[in-house]
Amino acid sequence: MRSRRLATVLVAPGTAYLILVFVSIVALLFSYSARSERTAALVAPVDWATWQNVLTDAYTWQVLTTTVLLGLVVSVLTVLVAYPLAWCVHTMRRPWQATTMLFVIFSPILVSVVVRTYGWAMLLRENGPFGSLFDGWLYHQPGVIVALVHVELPFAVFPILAAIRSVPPELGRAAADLGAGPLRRFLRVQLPLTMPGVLSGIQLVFALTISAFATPALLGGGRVTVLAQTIYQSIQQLQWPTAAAQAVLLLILALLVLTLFTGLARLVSGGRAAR
Amino acid sequence: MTASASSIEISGVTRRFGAATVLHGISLTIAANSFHCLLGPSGCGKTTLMHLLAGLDVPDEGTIVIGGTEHTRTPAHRRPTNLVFQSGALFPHMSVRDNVAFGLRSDGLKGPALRTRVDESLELVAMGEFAGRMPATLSGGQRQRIAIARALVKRPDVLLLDEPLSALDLALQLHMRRELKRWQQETGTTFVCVTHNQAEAMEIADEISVMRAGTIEQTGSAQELYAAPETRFVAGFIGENNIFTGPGPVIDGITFPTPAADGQVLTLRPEHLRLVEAGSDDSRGGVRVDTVGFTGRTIRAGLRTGTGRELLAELPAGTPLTPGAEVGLAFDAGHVYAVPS
Repeated sequence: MRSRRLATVLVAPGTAYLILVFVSIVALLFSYSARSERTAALVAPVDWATWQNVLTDAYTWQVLTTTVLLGLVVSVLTVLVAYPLAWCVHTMRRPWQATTMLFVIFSPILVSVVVRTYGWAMLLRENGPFGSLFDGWLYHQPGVIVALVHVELPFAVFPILAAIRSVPPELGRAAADLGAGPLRRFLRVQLPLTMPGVLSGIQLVFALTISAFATPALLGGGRVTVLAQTIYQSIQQLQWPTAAAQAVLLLILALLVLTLFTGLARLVSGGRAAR
Repeated sequence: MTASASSIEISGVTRRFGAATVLHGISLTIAANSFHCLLGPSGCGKTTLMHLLAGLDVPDEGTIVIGGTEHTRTPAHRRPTNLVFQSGALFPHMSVRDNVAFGLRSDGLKGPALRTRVDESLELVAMGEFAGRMPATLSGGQRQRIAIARALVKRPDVLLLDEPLSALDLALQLHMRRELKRWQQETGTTFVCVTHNQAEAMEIADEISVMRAGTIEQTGSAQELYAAPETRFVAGFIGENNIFTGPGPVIDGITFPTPAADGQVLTLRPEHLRLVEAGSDDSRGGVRVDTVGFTGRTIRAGLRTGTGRELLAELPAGTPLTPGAEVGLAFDAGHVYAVPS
């Protein structure tokens, strides 16, 4: 009982901080989005014109579609790259090998987003170090995608690695013993049991991608516009209510997709949903 | 009984992990349709040997022949063997039925034929009504039954069991021993069971191989191992024993009829000891009664010799004994076995 009370005391400040900040920001956003012009006074008359404009604007929908598609493509690609990497780390015999590998996977996070992005620009530029291999990638979708996959890889590798490590090794041996070849072992035993890790990897990467700003802005060359950029543009033009409405849209989008994936995770983990 | 049950011939199998040699040139023949136990303390290499038989590992030297065909390097999924893991290793995301069907589906079986085989197997282990359950909802004993059904459904030539009962409580273990024996007889499959529990091995096995430090000390029926152990280790590991080390004929104050030869120790089973009046003609030496315990059929008495050696005697129930009493120790010369030390 005492340790419970202590835990409550320890957790309380952080929880209070998070709730306060989150709730007040969301409340402010909603409040701003329900005005027609920038105002510091929250008592200004409520006006849904901003929402009407944002929701009927074809450009907003186009940007929204780009954002969601980019999120889906990047999260799926990242997980496809991350799974073999996580598997590789898992099977490494010597601890220093795994540590080195994890450091390499983690490294993009250690580099400033601006530096990393210009690094990609140099790699992808025409007549760059890879010759004409990446011609047409820079300032287009592929360039943005490849750079986002790079930086978000660790967010997929770590949950997948944790999931792989939680599968008892004798399950794979049992499947082999029962006559399952490598492919069947992977598809019927390994993959279903690590699916929760894969899904949380997709969730994390998706949430990070749809809110990404610097990478699409710098590598998209104006051709790849995501929601975060239009929010920035709206603020630059002092259209605070529009920016707020777009931000709320982004938030709803993120919550929607996260809820969807949580449901999916519960579905694939089947009878073990309890944990 | 089916004709497919086959014998195993292991010849000169050695397995090393890095600098450590876990198995030292093991050779062993296991008869078809028999129940064979690999018995030994932890770390003796019995599980490694089992993995070599299952194809989950490959020996550094030697050959493994199963049913007349060499399988030394055949991977697990192409061997006529199936393994029951200590933990059961049931797939947690599949129902009991899907677990049991997994191996047959791997072989391409489907439809009514698959269903019949799965039902048969579940009936054999009396788990038919649990077909729709998930493994997490089963007890340890039920999980182990499913694991055995899952392996037996493939009708392997050889069923390998890795400590199948060690995770169960004692009452369940005693029950499952008889079940294992029954399933082996009903299916006519060769069972090879790894265990560290000598009572379990003695009860279920037709033949036992006692292993120690990567070698087989002795192979034989439980009776043979008990009556005529060939090494000191077997003498101490199979059943309880009093072991006397020394040149003799007087060891620890006890006079033996024949002295131990060089490099030998003398053994005396607890049930072969008798207590007589101290100093009587039958007495071969004086001991003090330390502890007296009643087990039902017998009395287990802890004895102490004049030199402080502890001995165990198993006496008929009703033998009058008081702790602290000074008595004489008697035994027949024929019950003293000399084994290499």
